[in-house]
Amino acid sequence: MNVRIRVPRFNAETDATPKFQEYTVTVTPQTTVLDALNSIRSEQDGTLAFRRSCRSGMCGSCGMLINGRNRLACNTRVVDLNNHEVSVNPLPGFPVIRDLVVDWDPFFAKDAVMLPYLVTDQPVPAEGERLQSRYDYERIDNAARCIQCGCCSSACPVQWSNGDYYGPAALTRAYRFVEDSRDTAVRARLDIVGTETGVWRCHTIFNCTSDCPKGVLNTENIQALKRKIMLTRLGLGSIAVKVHAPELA
Amino acid sequence: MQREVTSVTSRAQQVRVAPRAGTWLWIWQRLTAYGLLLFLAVHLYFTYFAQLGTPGALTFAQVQRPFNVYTLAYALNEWLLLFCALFHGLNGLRNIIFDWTTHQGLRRAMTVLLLLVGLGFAVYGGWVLWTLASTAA
Repeated sequence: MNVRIRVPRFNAETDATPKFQEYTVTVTPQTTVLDALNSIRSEQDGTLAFRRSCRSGMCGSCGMLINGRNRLACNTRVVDLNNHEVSVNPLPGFPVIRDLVVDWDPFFAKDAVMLPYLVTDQPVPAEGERLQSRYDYERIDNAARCIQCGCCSSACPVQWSNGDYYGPAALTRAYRFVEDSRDTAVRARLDIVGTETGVWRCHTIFNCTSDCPKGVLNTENIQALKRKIMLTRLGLGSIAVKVHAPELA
Repeated sequence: MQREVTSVTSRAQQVRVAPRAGTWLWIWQRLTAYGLLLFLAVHLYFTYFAQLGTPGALTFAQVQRPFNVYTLAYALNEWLLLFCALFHGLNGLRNIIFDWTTHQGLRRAMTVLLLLVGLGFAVYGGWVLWTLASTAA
């Protein structure tokens, strides 16, 4: 089956607006959008720029706007799009560097503000690892699936109009550590996200949840952060504090 | 306040780290939403549903009748309805403005303007309610 792939051609250093270019690619039922882009680059146009790495939905490099939705190109089969025309665009809301390559610096800068690492004042246990019970891990399992592909933040209309907003990816990252039984910087993170550039800018539009290729419940995580901040401000912080199963499963 | 991040980026990035704010506005936005449901239901009952059997157009006397019967309670309901509607509406408008612009000066100016509008309507509405309640038979 032949499909037409339509992509914008743009170079931030020389172009003011993108020009769209179409390529015809022969696909099989197994061909992914990334396979099609690779085929274009290797057989038709070596100047087409896009990011990819693992080709198995784990690295988050190939997030793109494909037929109107943010998806991972490596996880999206062309036949599943049910169309002989496939439109591939860079993630919306991100500055475009070239063709399908966007600038990730603002995205990762916001992520860095969330203290995206384990903070603890507890000594390292004798066994050398900070183990969790199964119950405790399951509390963060969904949020920990995030691969930082940017599909959620790019789908958020608030992020489009307000570049200061941290966005669902960074907020989910904060949630992942707030809920981590081993982390002791809960209050610090709640102070970081409980601001006008943080959770209070989320209007529960749910685009971030519906466009997440890994099924992360971003909107729910942000609402959980709101509840924790609210309870803390109301002096009911003990309710917001994590309840952990003492035994390790 | 801006925080510069360089550790994970190719170029230095400024990230706005806002002061801890917004929680109470969010809580009050929810509380006033519930308040609107309650106080509006009472308001609609007395000004519409209780008048359904009355022939002819709605008159001022009919509007004032609940004030005559339940002066303090009804005036309080109406003022709380006014407060909830003003807070919920104007804070919603502020949220839209905050989504629309990141200019801190404009945000502050619009917040002050909306606060003044809210206070103005609250005082004016309160004055009307006071007049209705104080002239109740």
